[in-house]
Amino acid sequence: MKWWLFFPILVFAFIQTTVYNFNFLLLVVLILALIGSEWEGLLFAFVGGVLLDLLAGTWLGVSSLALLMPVFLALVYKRKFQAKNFIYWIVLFFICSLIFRLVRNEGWRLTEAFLMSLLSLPSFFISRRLEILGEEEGIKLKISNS
Amino acid sequence: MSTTFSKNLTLFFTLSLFSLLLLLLDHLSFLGFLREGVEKIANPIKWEISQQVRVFYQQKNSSSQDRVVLQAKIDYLEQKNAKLQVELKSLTQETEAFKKQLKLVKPAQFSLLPARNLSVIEGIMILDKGEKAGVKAGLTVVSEDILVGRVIGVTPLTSQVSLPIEQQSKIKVKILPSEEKGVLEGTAEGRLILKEVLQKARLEPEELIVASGEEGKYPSDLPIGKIEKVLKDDVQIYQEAEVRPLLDYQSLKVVIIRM
Repeated sequence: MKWWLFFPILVFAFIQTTVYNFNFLLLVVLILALIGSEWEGLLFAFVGGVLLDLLAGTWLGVSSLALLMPVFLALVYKRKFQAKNFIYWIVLFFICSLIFRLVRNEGWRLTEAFLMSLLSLPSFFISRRLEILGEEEGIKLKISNS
Repeated sequence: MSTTFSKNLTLFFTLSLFSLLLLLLDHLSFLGFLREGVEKIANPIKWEISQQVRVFYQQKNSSSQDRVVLQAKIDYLEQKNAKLQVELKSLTQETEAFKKQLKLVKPAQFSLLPARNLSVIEGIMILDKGEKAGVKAGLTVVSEDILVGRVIGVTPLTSQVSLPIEQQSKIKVKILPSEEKGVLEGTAEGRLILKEVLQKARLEPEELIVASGEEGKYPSDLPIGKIEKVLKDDVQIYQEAEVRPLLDYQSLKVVIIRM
């Protein structure tokens, strides 16, 4: 369990409730779920949601549900559509952003959803690069062992 | 169904149930201790962050020291003028009442609680005073006798204030000096629009908008803003106007809650 990942979640929860209400937390949690361990993604979604509600003064549990649903959706379709496809990331982040706001009864925020899709792309390309590097290391190890 | 997926599904349902349980416990006010503990730590941090945000906005909006000083003087005089206009009207009405009835009318008594502005997000201001300080939903918040908003939510150590610029805000208002009635609404972009003013009413820029007090939500005659631009469409039943708030809510450090 990467406990240090709670730190950026805490930071983004503060930013989202004090500076600007852009969905930074959903962005971080989705990226963690898609790149990292799936169960950690769900756990970070729950804890991030509780933090968000505590800092914003809203009902506890609402933001957790609002984060859990899109993260679970992302994990379900991660198998079907392969997270290696950037179109999948764009569509997924767009839909997840809308789901989050609708669960919190904050209306259709299409502009934010569009921005989320764009912001997800750098992390997609970084994750693909890390995956390719990982595969190359794996091939090198196989060759050296044989 | 793979083992990993079924594990994830179980975890998802478990965490969702926990979330629903938290929601229920919070509704029944069983989690006040948790909120209080977090707010004790978080409020000073939020205050520091909001201070930095305020400094950033002030630097962004100012171009030279002279303009800043002049603008500050203009803002002060406008606020003072708005306050004096309301006081004059009130005094005139009182004098007429005394003349007619020869009875003493006691002014409303309320205590004032200063509170710090921790953040302004999408028309909602968070203050650092809550239930423990005696704050309740429905109380009016002012700054130098200008309306800031109304308390809509309270936690142990914070309260949420709905500002006039909030998207769902609707305030019944009067326009001075004509006494015409209208409704002041907030927009998604954080602007103020005056609506439901009869076409026959004559609206002029710089006319003062005050709360009418009709609904009982806000005290009457509290200034809110000034007309910036009249949006007249002769085809419509009502005319509208853009209103400029008298206060820059983001830059307010301390406000007063009327208890």
